[in-house]
Amino acid sequence: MEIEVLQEISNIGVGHAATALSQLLHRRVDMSIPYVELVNYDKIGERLVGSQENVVSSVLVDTYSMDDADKMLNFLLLFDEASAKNILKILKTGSPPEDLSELDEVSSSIIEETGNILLLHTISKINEFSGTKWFPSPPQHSIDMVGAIIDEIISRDERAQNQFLLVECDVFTDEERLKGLILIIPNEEALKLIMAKLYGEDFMDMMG
Amino acid sequence: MATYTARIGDIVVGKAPDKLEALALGSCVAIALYDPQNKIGSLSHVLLPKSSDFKEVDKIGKYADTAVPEAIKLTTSKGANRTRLKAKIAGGAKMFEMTGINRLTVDVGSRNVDAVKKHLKENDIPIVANDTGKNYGRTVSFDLETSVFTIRQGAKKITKHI
Repeated sequence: MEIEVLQEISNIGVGHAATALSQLLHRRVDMSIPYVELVNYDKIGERLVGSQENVVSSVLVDTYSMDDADKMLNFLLLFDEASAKNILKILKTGSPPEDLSELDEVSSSIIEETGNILLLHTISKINEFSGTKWFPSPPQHSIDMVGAIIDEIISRDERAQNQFLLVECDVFTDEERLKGLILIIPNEEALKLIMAKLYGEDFMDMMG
Repeated sequence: MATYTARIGDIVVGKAPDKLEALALGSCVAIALYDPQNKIGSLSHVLLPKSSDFKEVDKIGKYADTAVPEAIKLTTSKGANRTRLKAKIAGGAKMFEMTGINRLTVDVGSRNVDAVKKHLKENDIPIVANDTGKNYGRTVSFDLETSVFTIRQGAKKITKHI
C-alpha cells in the first residue's frame, strides 16, 4: 500500500521536475514513469550504478517538516558521470571536463543548481499533493563513490534506517541521455506523517 | 590467496597471503586488526559509533563499541596472539554538512573515528597508522602478508599506503 501511494506521488513530482528541466536545458525532456522500490541499505550502491565504487555526481537536499523538525526527508539526486558531463555540455560553453573530480566553480555550481531545481520541484509537488509542509535546506553537492555517499547519508540520521525508498527514473533529451536517480529517504516519523496526511488519522489508527 | 570483502557491519578474518578489503567507505570506518608475526588479521566495517543508541542490534559488527571486542575474539580464535595485536584504521569522512535544527553538531564520521579509537585503547591495542576524516570516500585493502593498508580515494584516483 505505502509503495503504491509513494509511486503516485513520485510520478507527479518527477513529471513536474521534467518540465522544469526542459525549460532549463531548452530541450524536449522525456522521463520514464518512476519506478519506486524499497531497497536495503547494503545493496543500494550496486543496485544504482553496478558497483559501490562507481563515481557519481550527487545533490542532497534535506527537508524538515515545518510542524516538527524531528521529521526529516532527505532527497538525493544522483547522475552518473556521463550524464553529469552531458548537463555541462548543454549548459556551459567549452568542452566538458575529462574528470569530474576537477570541476571548476561554475561547473560545480551548474550541477548543484540543476539538481536543486529538480529536487525542489519534486518537493513542492509532494507538499501540494499530500498537504505536508516540507521545508528544504540549501543543496549540497558531492562527487564521489556512490557507496560512500549513501553510507554517509544513512548514518547521519541517528535512527539509521535499513531500507530506503528508491525512485528511479530515466531522463532523456532528443540528443543526450541523462540517467538520473532520486532517492527519497524518510525517517520513520516522516513516513508516518505522509501516510496520515494521505489517508487521514483513522487509516493510521487502523494500521496501528 | 583469497580476498575477503567486508560489507557494512561485517567482520572478515584471514591469514596471509589473504587480502581483506572494504569498498566505498564514507563516514564508515574500517578497522584492520592484525598480528604481524603470524600474519593473521581481521577487517571490520563499522557504520555507527554506539550500539546502545538502538533498541535492536541486528549486526554487532555495525557499531564501534561491539565490533572491536568481536573482532578481537574472531582474530584470536583464528590464531592471532592477543598481546601482539595492532590496528590500522581508515574512513570517517564527511561529505555533507548537517543542516537544520535538532541536528547533532558533530558529524557521524568523526564520532565513528573517536569511538573506534576509544574502544581500541580500552583493549590496549595500539593504532599504528590511520587515514581518517576529510571529505572524500575511500576504498581500503589490507595485505596480511606485508601488513600494508592500501587506501584509494575513489573520485580522485589517488592511492596511499599506510
